[in-house]
Amino acid sequence: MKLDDNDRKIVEMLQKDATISYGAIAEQLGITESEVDGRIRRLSDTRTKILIVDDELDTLLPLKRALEMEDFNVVEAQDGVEALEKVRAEIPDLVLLDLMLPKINGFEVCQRLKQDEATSYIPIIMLTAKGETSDKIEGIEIGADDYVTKPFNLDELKARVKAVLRRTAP
Amino acid sequence: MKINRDNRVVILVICIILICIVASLGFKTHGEVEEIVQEQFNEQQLLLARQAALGIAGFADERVTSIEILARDRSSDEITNLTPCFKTIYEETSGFYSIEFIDTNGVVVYGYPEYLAPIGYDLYAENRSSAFDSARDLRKTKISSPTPLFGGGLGSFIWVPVYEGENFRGVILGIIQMSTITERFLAPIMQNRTGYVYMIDSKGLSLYDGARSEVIGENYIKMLGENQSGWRDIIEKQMNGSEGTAVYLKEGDESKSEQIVAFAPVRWRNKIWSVAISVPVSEVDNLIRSVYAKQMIFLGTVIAIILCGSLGLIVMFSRWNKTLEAEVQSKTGDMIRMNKELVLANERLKELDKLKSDFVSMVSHELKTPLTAMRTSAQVLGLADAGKETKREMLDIILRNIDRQTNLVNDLLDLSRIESGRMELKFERLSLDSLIADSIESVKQAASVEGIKLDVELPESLASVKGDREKLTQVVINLLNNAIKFTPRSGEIIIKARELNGQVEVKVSDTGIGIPTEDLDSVFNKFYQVDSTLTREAGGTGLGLAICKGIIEAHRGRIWAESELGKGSTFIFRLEKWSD
Repeated sequence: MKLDDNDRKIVEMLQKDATISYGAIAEQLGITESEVDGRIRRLSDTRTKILIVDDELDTLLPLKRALEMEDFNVVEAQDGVEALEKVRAEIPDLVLLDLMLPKINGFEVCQRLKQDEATSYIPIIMLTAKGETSDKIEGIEIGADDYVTKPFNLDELKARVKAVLRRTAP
Repeated sequence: MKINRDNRVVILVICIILICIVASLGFKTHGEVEEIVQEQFNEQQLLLARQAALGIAGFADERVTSIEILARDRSSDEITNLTPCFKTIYEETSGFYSIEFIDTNGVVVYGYPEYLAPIGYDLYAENRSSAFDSARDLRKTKISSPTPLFGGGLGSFIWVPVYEGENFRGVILGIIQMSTITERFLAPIMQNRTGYVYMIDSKGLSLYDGARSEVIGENYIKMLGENQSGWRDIIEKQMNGSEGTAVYLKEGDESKSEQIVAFAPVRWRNKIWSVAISVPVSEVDNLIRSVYAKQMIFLGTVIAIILCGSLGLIVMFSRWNKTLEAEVQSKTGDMIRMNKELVLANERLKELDKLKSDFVSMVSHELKTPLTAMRTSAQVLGLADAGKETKREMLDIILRNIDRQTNLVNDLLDLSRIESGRMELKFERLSLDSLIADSIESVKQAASVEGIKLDVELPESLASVKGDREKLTQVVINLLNNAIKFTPRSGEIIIKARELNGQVEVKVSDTGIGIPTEDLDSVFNKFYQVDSTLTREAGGTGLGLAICKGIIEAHRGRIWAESELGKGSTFIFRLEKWSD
């Protein structure tokens, strides 16, 4: 799990004084108490975190359930803008990214994540009903780590997720 | 440029050389032709002169002979018996001026015709007896040089002695008037021709001159001055009795001209005369010119015919060419037009093809999406550690997506029927208020779930329309569902109807998010806003409005949308009123 400056400061504070209140931490770092709460919860969750981005809730939900059963920490986003926000807030270990997204499409989300140094290390698996070779090539070219076409075999997807995580593990 | 100029110079030089060659050939040919014509002309003149000379000699000799025969046959007859024969001869042989008998004393004793005979004329007394003496002494016919006659003009005197044995009895004198001979033989030669004929005797005396009758009887040698030596030479040759042609320069009062003289001798007993035909050399030129003129006319005619023919052909071909060109042009125009049409048609086809493949790709995406949901859910259902709650969730997802795909397939089929014109409409007289009421009924549940208020504003009596109940109900339900989808909780939907210019108008207004102005037309396109999360949440297929448009247009009606962003949208359709 990757930590940013605020995370490190929170860890330091907790190591000094295990009983420090969330409000005190928030005050010291100049952030809200709820964010401190979120960060601490995130820091305390040691599971691998996967962000699923899909505008179809009916596709997103079963996938989320399946990955949760595999003991992944799953966060979700339903459009491109939300996806970018979630990546920055949650710092996932892997992104499952649908291509046809409202607001900002999957290609662009992928491109932005790969261009940003803070997020470029996060592996991305493209997930789409578009099975054209050209789409796959474009996806791989802009930095996607894998490409899975819908409808997919759940077992295969899980295997790929694990393979990509293994490959990109520090 | 330089090469061009050089070329021009070369062409010019070649042209000049060719012209020179042609001209020199022409001159040479002309010279040869002139020579030949000249020769022929000379020959012809000479022949004419010879013919005339022979004619004269023959004619004169015949006359002499006839008198000689008389003198010999009747030498012993009495004079009175002899003289009647004169009349016979005179009449039978035309050409005598008169025939006389001169007795031994040199006195004219008889003559025929009598009025011309100077009876009693004494030669000795008149001192004109030399010819008479000569004939008597030589006992031979004597022809004296032409002498002026009493009646005018020259006459040729033929003295034939009559001897009975050694006894001299007298002389028969036949006089031939010169003009008789010349009229007969010389004058006709030059009829209708340039030039003239003259005849001289061996002393140069003019016996005939076609050009100047006043010189007849004069001597040419004496007449000719020093400067006419050319002619004088010819005259001298003539006096010698030669034959031939010659050219001399005739110097007139005003101009000089070359004359061709063809001359031939007249040999009549002891007399030598000479007939000459004198023609200006220009006559030869005239002849050549006339030949040339005829050739030119011939050539001109031929060239004119060739030119006219060629011109005709050129005109014909150019006309043909023009028709061909016009035809080609019109054909080319047709082809260009057809080409343009083809290009347009091709573009349209490409566009249609792109639309079609876009549509197919959209449809496949739309079909795959519920499949993905179903497949993943089903696999999750199969997992051993799935809890009861999760299984419930997965089953719901599967069922929802089956419905969604069913709707999608149904909508696709509807759309396909509409687009291929295979949609069957059962037209009937419809009252729209009942139709609207039915539609409201079927969406009431969905609206109340969303907390949306449904209002209906209808006039007391609304005209009927001609339409298919089922399809129009589908349209209204689609519009209402659409409005429900895009209207947030506690929003409001109003459906209104009214009559307008023979049409019935239905309006479905909502207080939803609205549609950007530029998208007002494209909302009726297939899969418009298919990416919108709202659409998905609302479970739409993205085909509803396209189907509405298809159905309304199949009723010859019109459907459109109006909107104010953030305030809501209104969908309006108009249909023709029922008419009997």
